[in-house]
Amino acid sequence: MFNGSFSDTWQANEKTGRPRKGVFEDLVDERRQRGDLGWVLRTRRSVPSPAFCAAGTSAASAAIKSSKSPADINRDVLSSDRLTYGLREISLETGRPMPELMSEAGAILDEMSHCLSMFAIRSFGYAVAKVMKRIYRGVFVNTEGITQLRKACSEYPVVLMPMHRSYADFLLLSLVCYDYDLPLPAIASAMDFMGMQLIGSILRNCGAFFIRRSFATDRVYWLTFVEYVKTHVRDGLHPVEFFIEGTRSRTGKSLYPKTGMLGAILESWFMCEVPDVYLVPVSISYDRTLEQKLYAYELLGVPKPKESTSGLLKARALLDEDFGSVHFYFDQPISLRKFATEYGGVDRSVHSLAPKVKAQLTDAETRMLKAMAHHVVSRHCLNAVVSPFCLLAALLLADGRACRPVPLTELAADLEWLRLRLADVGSLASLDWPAQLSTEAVIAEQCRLHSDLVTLLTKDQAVALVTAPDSDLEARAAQRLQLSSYRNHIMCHVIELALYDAATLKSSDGGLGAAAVFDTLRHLLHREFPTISDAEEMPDMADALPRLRNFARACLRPSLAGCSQVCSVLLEQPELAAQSSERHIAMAAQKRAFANLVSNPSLWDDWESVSLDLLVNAVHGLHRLRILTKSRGAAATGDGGSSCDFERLRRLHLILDPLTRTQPDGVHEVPSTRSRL
Amino acid sequence: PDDSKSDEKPSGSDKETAKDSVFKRPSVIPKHRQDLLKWNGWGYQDSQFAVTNQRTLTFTGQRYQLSGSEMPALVEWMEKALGASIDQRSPAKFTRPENIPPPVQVNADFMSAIRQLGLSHSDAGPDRLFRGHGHTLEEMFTLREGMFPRLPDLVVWPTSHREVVELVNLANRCGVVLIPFGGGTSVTGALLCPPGERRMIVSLDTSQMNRILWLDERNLIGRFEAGIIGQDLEARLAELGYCIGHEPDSLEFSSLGGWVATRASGMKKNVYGNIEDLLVHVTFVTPTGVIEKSCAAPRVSVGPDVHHLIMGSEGSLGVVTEVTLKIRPLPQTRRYGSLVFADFASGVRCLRELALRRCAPASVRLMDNEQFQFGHALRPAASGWTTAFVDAVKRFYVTRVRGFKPDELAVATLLYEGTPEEVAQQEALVNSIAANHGGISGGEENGRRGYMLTFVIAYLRDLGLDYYCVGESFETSVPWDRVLDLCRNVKLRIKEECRSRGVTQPVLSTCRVTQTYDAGACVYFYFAYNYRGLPDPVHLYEEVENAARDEILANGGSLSHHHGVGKIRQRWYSRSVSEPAVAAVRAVKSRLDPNNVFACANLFEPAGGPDGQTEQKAKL
Repeated sequence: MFNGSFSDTWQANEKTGRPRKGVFEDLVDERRQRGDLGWVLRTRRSVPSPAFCAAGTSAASAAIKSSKSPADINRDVLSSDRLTYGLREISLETGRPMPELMSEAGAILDEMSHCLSMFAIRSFGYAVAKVMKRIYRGVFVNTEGITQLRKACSEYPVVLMPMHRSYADFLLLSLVCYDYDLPLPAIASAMDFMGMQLIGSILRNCGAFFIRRSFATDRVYWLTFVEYVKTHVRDGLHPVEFFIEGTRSRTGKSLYPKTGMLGAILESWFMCEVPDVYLVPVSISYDRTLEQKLYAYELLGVPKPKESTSGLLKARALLDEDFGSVHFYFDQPISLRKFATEYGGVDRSVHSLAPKVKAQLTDAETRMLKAMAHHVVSRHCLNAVVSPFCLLAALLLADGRACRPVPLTELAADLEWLRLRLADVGSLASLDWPAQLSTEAVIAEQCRLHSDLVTLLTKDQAVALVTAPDSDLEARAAQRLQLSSYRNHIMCHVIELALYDAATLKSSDGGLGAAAVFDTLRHLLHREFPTISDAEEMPDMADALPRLRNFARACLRPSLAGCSQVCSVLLEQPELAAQSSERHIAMAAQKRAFANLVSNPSLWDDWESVSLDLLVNAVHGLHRLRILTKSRGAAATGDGGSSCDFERLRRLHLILDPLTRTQPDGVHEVPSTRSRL
Repeated sequence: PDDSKSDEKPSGSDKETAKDSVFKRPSVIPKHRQDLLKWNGWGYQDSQFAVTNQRTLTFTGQRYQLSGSEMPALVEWMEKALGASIDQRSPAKFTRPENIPPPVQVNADFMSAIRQLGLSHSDAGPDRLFRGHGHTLEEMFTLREGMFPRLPDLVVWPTSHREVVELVNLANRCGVVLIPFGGGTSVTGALLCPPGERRMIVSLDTSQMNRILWLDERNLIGRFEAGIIGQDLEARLAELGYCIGHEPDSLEFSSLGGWVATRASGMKKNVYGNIEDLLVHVTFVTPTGVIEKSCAAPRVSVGPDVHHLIMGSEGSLGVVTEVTLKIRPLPQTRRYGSLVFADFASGVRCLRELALRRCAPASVRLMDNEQFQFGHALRPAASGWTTAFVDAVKRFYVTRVRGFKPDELAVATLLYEGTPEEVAQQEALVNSIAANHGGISGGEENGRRGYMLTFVIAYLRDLGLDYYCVGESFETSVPWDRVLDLCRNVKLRIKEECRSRGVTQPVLSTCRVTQTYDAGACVYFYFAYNYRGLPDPVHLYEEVENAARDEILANGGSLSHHHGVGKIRQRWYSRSVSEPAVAAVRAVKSRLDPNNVFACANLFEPAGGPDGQTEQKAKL
């Protein structure tokens, strides 16, 4: 990590001549200076390949090759001991003949496998580079991270684990790998793309492989998938790239990590098929996200448009917009072996007694897998570059501040304060702050970039939100959700303080005690904020500035309002819990929230309680707290039906109530700029 | 058994018959080992690697095939593989015999009793020093750089089973510790005196119990005293037309009793079996009595096999005095062979098939590429242009025609024994199986060289120690499906552990598969590194070896295939066999040896402190 917000002292990288900004260098500038044709045709030099393969004892194939065609990979998967053994087991249990199962696995593999070709990468890269130049001001990459990644690629298998905020993530990441002469990743993608004509096969040629969204019960699929992933890890020729969050985060917050894919990768180390694995968290931050608006509507429940090539063509209007810069932060590679040593409790030798083909994770390994997944998500957040607009959005949203235009000077003073305080706390080391501009100028610049969300009223010298007409509730909510998604970028930096603050607020504990409230909230919000530490103890943050506490509280309030909304709807409609799935409860809560907003649009924080994502997370929280418990029958069928502990639900509601009020009992005063600075 | 006192006289006088002389001939190794063997290194004093001039190494003496020849490539190899320089010497400190610490505990009762019994004994420094250690790197380093915290206070040489019984009873009565000593080739720290021991420590040296007691040619078994060392045993039996066929790499120095006590394995086990297969009967002296079976029947079902308590007891329960082993007629033909594979993995697959079809020759060993390179470095200077020419032709065929890469190929050495027909048949089969895995024959000479090097390699560590290089070998056994992963992971782990501890020069980390079984294989690792500039090479080495052992266990390998547990692998013992199993062995120990006479503290620390005082008090 680097300390302090990097000032953009621009200088050229001595070796590459690329402009630098702090620890980052810009890729796009060079593409603007020189033509792309030479770039896509150039020879990539000294692409690292892992030494462990060359150790001459590769178990995978007789002839050790420095490259392996996609067909070779598929052949190795189908002939692997593990797959054959698993299929035979299924065959014996179900009576289905082996050849049938083998051909099923073959068909799955055909559907799944990538078809990575350098030619495709180069041609598609040409197009992506053109688009990139057009919509982005810069694509910044931390060069130290690249150096470390390069070294990692020359030692052990590497797994790239990027944040997922946009479809652009994996395109740009592959481009970065191409540009830095790194081995090109094999990318786990959702099936959504496969249906797209042309694009599906282009992505396949660029290294994407496609996995179904849910296949927990399909054993043949599971076996084939795991073996396909493990074959890549064992060969170590292409880093496996996948999104631990499973899907793009629509809210700007990290999603609760999915462990299936990581489990397959870890299994190859638990079963000693590889000496070690390097996991490389990659934080990606966009000044503006391409899909920003779509996301807001998806959160409201408007169905996601199906990925289609014609849809993509329609989206070309985006090409004329300015999306600011993109920052890639490659974290220091995490050695799986070292992580396991520090984590403790994992003893790989317990697998010694059964044959290797009977691999199954132990409980200790599953625990480590989860810890690892959370660790990666935390690293994502910690390293993600934060744009000034995130702070600005947070300030505007706090305590209903922006219900009327905020004077520029006041906002600038607050922004300056927030920037310095967060840097003090050390939690916000990676603020992309243009040093040579005044705070007012930064605000003005951000207003230009995000003109769809905020405007600078030049006459009044004040910043106002761009809002939809009062009548169009959905559009208003969408505007609000877009703005809050930027605030959410910094939530991981304030969440601990916010939880501490909520727990220690006198009026909230209802006689429970701070630690108990802290614990309750931690579980309630475990999905909403997956970076919340698992530590049992409540951190002592008593010396945090009151003003920072107020700020953190205001940032958390919309989430708690969402939880409160779910509690209310369950209390008002007791039959809901027994009959409905998580999503149905969330939709009922959303309906209730909308109804409230119609009657009282000034309920500032409730404007986010219409986000289905937030509401579903709240329902999960109730499950975690065992206020909702899945009934037996329901667990089997997979949807709907929980029993509800209404007594505890009421108590929770009482805890949440004071926390969701804008001025909780006047214990703390609303931050006022003049009095502090 | 005949154990008259006249045995103490040198035998082989004209009066005895030829057969008697073979039966009772004194050992090649003298009673005072320091007269022939190095005191701070491996093997014979006259045999070592030595620098002749600036760039060439030679092997001195006349004992080995390699002796006298110059190895021009070796220096270059040391530079390349270890970053060692011939100009950077790290000579051993010289310890004068008079500087060896004197005995610290002398039990007067015990002393007078052994004088009365007429047991041969010595408290001279060199005698005690030679019996106070084995041959782990740590022990060698201690000899070169310092001194052990504790040495035996006395060495006693019983000459018969009866004398051992008297000695053990005496020790038990007087409160004296006995540590049995055979050939001194332990690599588990088994011979080290426990530093916390407050009683007198006596080394029970079995070397003067080295007779062949009888041969039973009808049943093909023989009875031997436990102190006989491998080379004497085989040489004497050969004169009578027989062999045992048990050939551990320490054959020249290790003793029969040691083989039994450590569950030894020999390289030709495919034909002759490991010690547990060879052993028909054993006599074992413990403080509470002598354990032995009542017959020498080939197999019995009479409760749990007590032989398996004795084998692997590592000196902690008692001492082996006499052993009945199977003997075999000497093979008519002995033939070497070698195979070249494109890579180590193909070699392992070939060995797996040999095991599957149960047609592995007497010995088969597969060396990885690093060892192949090393073997190459030990080649003597080409004796003429024809040899060089033939080498070039061979190299051309292997690398160009077959496309093997010199930095990837692996080599297996083979040893066939049997009648000429059997050997020819077996060789044809082995070669055809090898061909299934892309292997080609590398000729007999390479095989012969490979086995010849077995005995010389042990000398190499001393050369390394003279040039800031420490090295060690360790072994494991592992199921077939894990062999390749284990080999690769352990080799890489060693390198990484060295690097992360500040070793900057290249690390030698190499392995070979030395035995094949139906269900798995034995793997030997060698590793060495240059410690110049590092503060505590032995501690570093220990940490690396421990990490490597952790990696082995994680990869499904065993704690040891044949070296044993001793002191250096105790931390994993309980995990390897389970708590109740350790409790059972402990119970046996406290029943057989209640006063902890055999207090070598191998396998586990004795309950209640080294001298068992707590236990005794509890009893009182």
